[in-house]
Amino acid sequence: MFTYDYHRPKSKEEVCELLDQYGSSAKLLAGGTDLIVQMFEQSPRLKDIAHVIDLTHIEELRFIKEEDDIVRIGATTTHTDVVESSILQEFAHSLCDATFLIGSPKIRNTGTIGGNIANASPAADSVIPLVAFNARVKILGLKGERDELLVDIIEKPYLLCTDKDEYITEIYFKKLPENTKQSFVKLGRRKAMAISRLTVGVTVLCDEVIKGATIVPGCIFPVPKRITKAEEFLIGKKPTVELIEEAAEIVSETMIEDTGRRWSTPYKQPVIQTLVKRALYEALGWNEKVKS
Amino acid sequence: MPLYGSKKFNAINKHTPRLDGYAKAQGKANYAADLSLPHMLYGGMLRSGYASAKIVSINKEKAEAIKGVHAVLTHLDIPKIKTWSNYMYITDQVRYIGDVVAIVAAESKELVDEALAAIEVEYEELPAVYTVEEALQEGAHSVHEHYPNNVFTDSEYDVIKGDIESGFEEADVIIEREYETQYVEHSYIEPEACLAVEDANDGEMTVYASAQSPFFTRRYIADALQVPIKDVRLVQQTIGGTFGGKEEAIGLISARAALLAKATKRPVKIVMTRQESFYESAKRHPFKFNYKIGAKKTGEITAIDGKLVCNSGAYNNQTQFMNWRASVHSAGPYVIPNVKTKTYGVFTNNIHSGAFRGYSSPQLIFAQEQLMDELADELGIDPVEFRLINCLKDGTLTATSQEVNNVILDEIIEYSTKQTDYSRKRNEYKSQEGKVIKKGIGMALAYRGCGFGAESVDSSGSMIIANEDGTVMINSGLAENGQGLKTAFAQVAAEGLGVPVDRIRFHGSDTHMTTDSGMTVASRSTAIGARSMRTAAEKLKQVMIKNAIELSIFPTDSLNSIKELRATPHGSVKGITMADIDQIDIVDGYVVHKVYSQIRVPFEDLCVSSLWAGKQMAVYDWVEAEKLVQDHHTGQGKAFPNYSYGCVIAEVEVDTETGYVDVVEVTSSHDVGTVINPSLAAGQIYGGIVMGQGFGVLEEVETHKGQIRQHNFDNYLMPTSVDRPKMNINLFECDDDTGTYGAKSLGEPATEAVAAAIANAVANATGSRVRQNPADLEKVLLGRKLR
Repeated sequence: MFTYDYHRPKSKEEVCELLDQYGSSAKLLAGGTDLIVQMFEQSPRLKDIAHVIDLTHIEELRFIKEEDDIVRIGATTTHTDVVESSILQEFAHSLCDATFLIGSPKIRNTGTIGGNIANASPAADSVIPLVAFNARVKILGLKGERDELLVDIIEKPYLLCTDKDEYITEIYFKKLPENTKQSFVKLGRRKAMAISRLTVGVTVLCDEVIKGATIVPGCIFPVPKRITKAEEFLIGKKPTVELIEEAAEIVSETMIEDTGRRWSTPYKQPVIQTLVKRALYEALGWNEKVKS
Repeated sequence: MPLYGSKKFNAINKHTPRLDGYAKAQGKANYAADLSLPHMLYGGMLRSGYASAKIVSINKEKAEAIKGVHAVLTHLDIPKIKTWSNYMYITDQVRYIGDVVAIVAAESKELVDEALAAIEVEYEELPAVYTVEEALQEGAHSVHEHYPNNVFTDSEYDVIKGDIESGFEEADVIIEREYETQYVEHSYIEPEACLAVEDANDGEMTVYASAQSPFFTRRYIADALQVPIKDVRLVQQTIGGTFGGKEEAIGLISARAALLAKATKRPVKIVMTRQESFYESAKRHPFKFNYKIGAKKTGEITAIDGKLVCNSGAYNNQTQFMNWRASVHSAGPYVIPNVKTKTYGVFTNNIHSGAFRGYSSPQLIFAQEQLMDELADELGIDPVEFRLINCLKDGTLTATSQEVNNVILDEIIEYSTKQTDYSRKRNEYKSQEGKVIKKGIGMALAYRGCGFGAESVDSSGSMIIANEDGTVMINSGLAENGQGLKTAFAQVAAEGLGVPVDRIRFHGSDTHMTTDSGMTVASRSTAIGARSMRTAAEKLKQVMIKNAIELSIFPTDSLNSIKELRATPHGSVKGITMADIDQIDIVDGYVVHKVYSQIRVPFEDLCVSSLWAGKQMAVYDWVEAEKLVQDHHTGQGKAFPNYSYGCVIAEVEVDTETGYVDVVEVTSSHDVGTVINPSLAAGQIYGGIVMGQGFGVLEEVETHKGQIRQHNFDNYLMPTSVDRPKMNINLFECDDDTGTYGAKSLGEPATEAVAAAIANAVANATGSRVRQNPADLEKVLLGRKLR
């Protein structure tokens, strides 16, 4: 069993000081639905950790607010906060949908959006719609605050590219252009309490032709990313079943180009196509096509 | 007999709340892990993690030197004894990853972990065999020296009936199929826990444990300590589920805790983590089936040939008993004149397989009931009709040539298939071209010999005591495991004695206070084991009626009123003799005259009088098992006193683009002989359906070179409450009076046919079969295992 020193900083700045002081022997606790499990399993990733810094008592890190055309979410906002937020339901319902599928009510009451990002699991559900929104994060360090694209701060699975005194304080994104539709689809092995097998988040702006699109598949890349090749393919074209199927194929081809053929590819290749297709159908309001 | 509802009883056959229900539902129940005693130490175990190795050296000095560590025991510190299944309490030869090489007692759990980490062990890795195929190769490493080719010969059973060759010659259609099932974890919510304490006066060892079968666990403790049975007491604690799983591992940790308590002279508690429970508790035996079956064009099955091979893992944890049961049921609930099946287990360097709800039947039925659908399709006969042609009926013979009677299987099949509109749906679902989400419906029959049968002795004893206030204590060596045994036994006792159920307390198993009635397994307790509860209660009733007569219990004024009522010209009362035992009864808590029911005295009045008059107020009774005889070479003979039958129909929606199987609705119909408690029966079936669903679509402990990939519930997935299907239950009763008031086994039938029904439904939906359980995403989409 590992033992740790527990710290409960009272301000955002104090966190940076503690991080600076303990460096790689410190780990942030932002709910603990991943961290406590990793501790219990004595994960090798935690072998040098001696200090746990609990962020959840800093009130100013927990909020959801709307400022003009920006939506801001504090890092220790719980999944339940996200699911129940009327602001997010209005401007980012696919994030609410994705978050609602995380774990169980108990996990959602405890786990946080910042924790979900910082754990940097390739299967993190809330990250996918956020990437589809081009979300950015605010990172606070001793030298001050910086601002990065969410996709740019995840270096590899379970590792962020932040300095030792830095941490995520806020996630924010611009409201999607008017009439943009969004969706999130998840495939799990069961209906609840399921770590995602595959997910897809999309946004689509479409009238006669597709004017804008983001496509973000989850669980297939080490770090989340938009499939710009597939997105660009759609732009300016009239949405048809064939068009969408082709875009879905581009996503699966990109997967194979990037990660190679693996033991799981025979399954993931067709199914990620299916999920991309379904996410786009849903965003386009073609729900009946999913079931037929 | 029709559905439940036509039998007449007072206390059984009725909805009664569970005696232990409120405490559990309110979270107030205490379990073994909740216990603690002054000066208690914590115990823990060191596992090598190797699949096959021997210990070259082991050094415990550093661990012993840690302050707060009170004992470190290795194989060198205890007598070299094995459990009945060859398993070592502490081993020097590792045969699978869960084998324990040292145990520790310390002041805290943290110190236990520190001490375990400080034990230095040098291993020599040995060759290993990981699959049945590897184990059977010539020259393969022997897991046990007594079984050089790894075939567990004591678990080999043949069933030979008729002439298999001429049977196949008669057949117009013959098919051959292979099916396979997986390792499955019981996943009871409470991991194994125990607390051992030695009596300072005379060294008597008491262990409080989450033991499924208290007397079975007691044997481990006496064995490990090498002390007489009388010096060991096992007190069963409230159990958080077992499903057959709290036998071997709980015995091992109870014995280890006792060894540590003896070494330290302090109470020692061991609570397994979930991971440890995954490592050391038994799993459902994986089976591989090779079946060949033939039938005439008209549908009659003429012959079945089967090879049933299971993976025992590293130890013979009940494979021999389970395989006997498998052999008896190896041809299913069908009348087949020519049968030849062989069943055996093979040792591998894997987690050990053991008892798990069904005890081979979920695996067998998964294969057999798909085989029946495949054969019916090949013949072009509707599966319902095909089963009705071939299923057991009154006066027919089983695979072991046992004649069966009171068989209502055809009635159950007809009712269930009609209720679900099975045949119409099945035909309709065959053509769903262009649909992504495809519907499917599948059926499977349940068939189970009740109780132990010829596997073991199905005898039991029960005691019943009337208290001075009219309340009643009962006890039995059979134990509450969460299945509702206490409530069922209380209802049986209430029926036999004639008092309301709420007057009765079932004390629970303490091996110093009741007698060994065999293990609480095999769906035997209510059906067979409670027969002694019935006879004890009925005998106590006779004793109490005798007391009533001898104590002249009826008040004179009530007798006078009868005299007035029945006054004759001569002033005498004709026909009323209060000394006639046959005229008095005990009903619903009153001692009553059978003819003049207004003559009644509360049972408690009789009890208090009996106590102070020094009358007998208790009975202990024993019911001996029926003798069953089978030929050892052919398996022919009477295998079980009787059988229970059932039909399960599953309806699914398969996402043909992802392979996801949504089990939408399950209809489960069972012949339970006599329903003891319809609420508890329904509870068994609801749980059985969801457990069967898990077996059918989700659950698997995957092994890779002896290591297991799943050791907690983050990646060992069972159905959640939102995954469960809509469930319809039909309870059938029949005239068979073998069991307690005619009751039959239900706990295992409730789960055994579900996965097979799902598999048949998936095949109906997709047109292709998953012959390798479970029907998970990858197998359904790709038709094969991904790795």
